[in-house]
Amino acid sequence: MYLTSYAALTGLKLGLVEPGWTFFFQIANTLILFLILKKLLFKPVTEFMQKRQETIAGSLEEARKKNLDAQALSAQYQEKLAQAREEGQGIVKAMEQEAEMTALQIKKEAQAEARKIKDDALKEIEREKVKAIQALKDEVAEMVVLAASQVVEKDFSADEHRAFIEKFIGEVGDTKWQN
Amino acid sequence: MEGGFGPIVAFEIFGIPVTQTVTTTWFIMAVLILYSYMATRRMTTVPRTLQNVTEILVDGINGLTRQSMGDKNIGFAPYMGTLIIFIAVANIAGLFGLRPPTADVNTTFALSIMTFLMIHFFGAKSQGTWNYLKGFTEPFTLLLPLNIMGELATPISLAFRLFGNIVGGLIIVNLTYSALGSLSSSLLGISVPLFQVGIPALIHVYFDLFAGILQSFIFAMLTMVFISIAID
Repeated sequence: MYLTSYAALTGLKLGLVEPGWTFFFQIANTLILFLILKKLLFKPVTEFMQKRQETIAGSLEEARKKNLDAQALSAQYQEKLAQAREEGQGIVKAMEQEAEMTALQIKKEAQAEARKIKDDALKEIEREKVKAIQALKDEVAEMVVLAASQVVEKDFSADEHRAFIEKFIGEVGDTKWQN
Repeated sequence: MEGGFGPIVAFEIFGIPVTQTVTTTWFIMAVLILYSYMATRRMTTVPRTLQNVTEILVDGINGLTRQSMGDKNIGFAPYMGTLIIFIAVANIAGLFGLRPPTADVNTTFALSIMTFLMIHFFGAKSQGTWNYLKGFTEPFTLLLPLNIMGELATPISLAFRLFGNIVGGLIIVNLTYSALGSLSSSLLGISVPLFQVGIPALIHVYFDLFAGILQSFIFAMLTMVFISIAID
């Protein structure tokens, strides 16, 4: 055994299968390496990966939830939109109907107004006509009296015959002046 | 190679020899600790290069542990991860011109004895010591010596499987190097070992990378399987 001759140990080549102190060194080395690698490599990396896995799973779950929420919201909005569109269409229709009614009423009123104006105008014309005929009759009567007095050369008393003349003219007028 | 393929004593403390195996292990430990520190110093939610690799590594080890030991034994993951990473890096050390620490029975026995202790400690812990010990007399008492021998064979086979694979690769690589060296001097007549360029790469890929990583997986997988069998 080499343990007996200390002096010349360094540089000595040992046998291929020779148990010795190295065995204990190697046990200690392995234990030390195990403890250090566990603390420095395996534990932190495993924990880190686990944490990341949890984070990713959480993020995915959150994303899934958000997606669902978004879908629900989208459906809700679409429904609301459809409702609004329907409502809008209703309003437009109502408005159209109202407008039509208003227009019709305005038209009716306008027609009534126009008719009234026309009637008034006709009445006025009639009145004016009657007035004019009356005036003409008066004038003619005067002219006839004047003419008759000239013919008779006598004071054709206007007052005396006026009633007769007027009656005559009135009869004539009623038939002739009408045209 | 003169005087065989054993490890060289690097120095001694208080008369205790510290071999190449131990110093290389310290170097590997320093590299792994530095890597762990660098990888976990600034972790971001969106991983970058180094963090990506680290996450794949840790996640793979966690998955492997969960797969072979069940969810309730996920606490073993750091130890199994340490085993896989340490053994793999130790086996690959040959690529960097270092003597693999796993090409030393002391290392492989240290690891396998720890596995052995864990198997029986956790077995006794989960089933109760008496129940666990009674398990060695099953299916009948006559098989007790056989059962004990079977249990003792576990660490031995674990240790020698790893040791044999790695030391075998080491020896073959070394023999190949010296063969190529002498071939280049005898064929080309020059003392520059020209044939050592490139040709050993294939052997390195197989013995250091392939066998090395495979053996680290086998060692850790067997440890997991043995412990979970003892626990159930």
